[in-house]
Amino acid sequence: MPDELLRVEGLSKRFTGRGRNVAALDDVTFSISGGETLGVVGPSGSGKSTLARVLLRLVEPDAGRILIDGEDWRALSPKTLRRRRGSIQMVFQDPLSAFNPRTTIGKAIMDPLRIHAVVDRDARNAVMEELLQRVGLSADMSSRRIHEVSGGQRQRVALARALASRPRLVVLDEALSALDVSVRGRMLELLVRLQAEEGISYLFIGHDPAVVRMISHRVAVMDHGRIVETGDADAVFSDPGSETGKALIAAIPTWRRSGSA
Amino acid sequence: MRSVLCKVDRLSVVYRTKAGAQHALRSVSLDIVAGEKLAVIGESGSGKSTLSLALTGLLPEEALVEGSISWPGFGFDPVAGRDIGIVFQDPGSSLNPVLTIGDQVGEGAGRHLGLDRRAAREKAVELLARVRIPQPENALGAYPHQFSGGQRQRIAIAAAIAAGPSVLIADEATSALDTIVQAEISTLLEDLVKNGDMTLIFVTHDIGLAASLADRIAVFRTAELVESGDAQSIVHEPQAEYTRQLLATHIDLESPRLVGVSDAR
Repeated sequence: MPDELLRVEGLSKRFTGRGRNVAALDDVTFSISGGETLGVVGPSGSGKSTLARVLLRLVEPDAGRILIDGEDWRALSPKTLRRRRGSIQMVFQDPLSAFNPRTTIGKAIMDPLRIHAVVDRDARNAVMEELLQRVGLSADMSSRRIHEVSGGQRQRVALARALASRPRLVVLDEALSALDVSVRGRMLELLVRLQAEEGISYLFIGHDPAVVRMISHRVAVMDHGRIVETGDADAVFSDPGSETGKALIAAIPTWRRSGSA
Repeated sequence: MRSVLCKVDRLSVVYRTKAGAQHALRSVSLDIVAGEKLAVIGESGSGKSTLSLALTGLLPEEALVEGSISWPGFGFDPVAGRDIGIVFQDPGSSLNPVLTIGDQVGEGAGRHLGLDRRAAREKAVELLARVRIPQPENALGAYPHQFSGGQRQRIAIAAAIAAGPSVLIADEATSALDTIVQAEISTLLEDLVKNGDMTLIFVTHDIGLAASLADRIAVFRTAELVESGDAQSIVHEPQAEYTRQLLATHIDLESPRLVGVSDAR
């Protein structure tokens, strides 16, 4: 049995102000093993993206613990946190807003190599080119800028940058949602291959339950900041126990049962 | 036998770019039948959105257009906003953030139906109720940001149908919404056109959604019409290799999983 990589206990986050008082995360507890993918599904506003941001410590939670390899992520000193940051990486939905438009793709990937001191200066260029090749891109893409390549290529670049710091966990927040279906299929295959090769764990957040099911070992269904259901992906999707799970699955359009709407 | 509402005849749309002339549509011929639900599907760059802009006369001036679009169903040139309603993907950018919902939904009714302000507001309440905005009277004075994404799209639909158009074009109108809300909006669109006095043109990248909603499907790829036909025939007996690929890459609950059962727990 693979070791537990991430353990989240009682995570809560409330957004208040301007008349709002919303529990974005409400006592969220789950774990992810090494090499495992946990899919997260839920309607808009269910707390999926807040969960991603809290794990990355882009947003501070109000309560709860985040343990990575048993180490309390919230108790780390700023200095240690910086050193550890490389071990969790994130890929966002929109690569155009996730990259500096003026930076070349090569530099964008070499920055984490430098910041996290992954390899020596002399080796950076070679490692960057190798990262591009690993995500199925050619090394000569390194001189281009993010807006000069296609949507699918942009997400591959984002993945290459995320992999640069040799993360244990990659959080994918709607990372494939804006891609064409054919491109999306190839990205899913790439993610699975990288996981098999390197034992990376994924937290895969998506609004389309059918896509999440494809790539996830286990699935958590979120609603109103809570995990309302969790289990093996096939079990959850064939026989959802929660009302939210049932509603999500009933809403999936398919051509196989076409005309039923 | 229903009549032809719109005849697209060898329509080409070309943009001049630094890289040379780019075809957004290449010699597309397509009949749109009055009262039907037509899904226009394709991936990025297929030309599906250019078609909806061409139908509504919203192509940018620099676009070079060949071929023709005629509207035998109208017998005159339809006016976008009055005869053709349009709903886009992002209601956040199609609704004006500093105008109240009542003003925006009532505007089309006021302008095209010649209603005075009071009557336009009454019409707006009726339209908001029709798209199932709860407490429509209270929504009149509210602003777009006070509503969720799904409700904003309902409001955009209310504004689009305010003048009672014969055609409603929904261009990726459900794509930015979560699956549950997407299903709700699809159902709403179906209900709006159910009695057949409005033609629905539903532009989407999702062949599953197209098949569950449309009577007919037109498949586009790289500026060309690949095939068109009855929705059931397109998904069950596709003629074009590209359509088969689209169906094969469509992901639903019957698609094979890419990872095995977790050996953790």
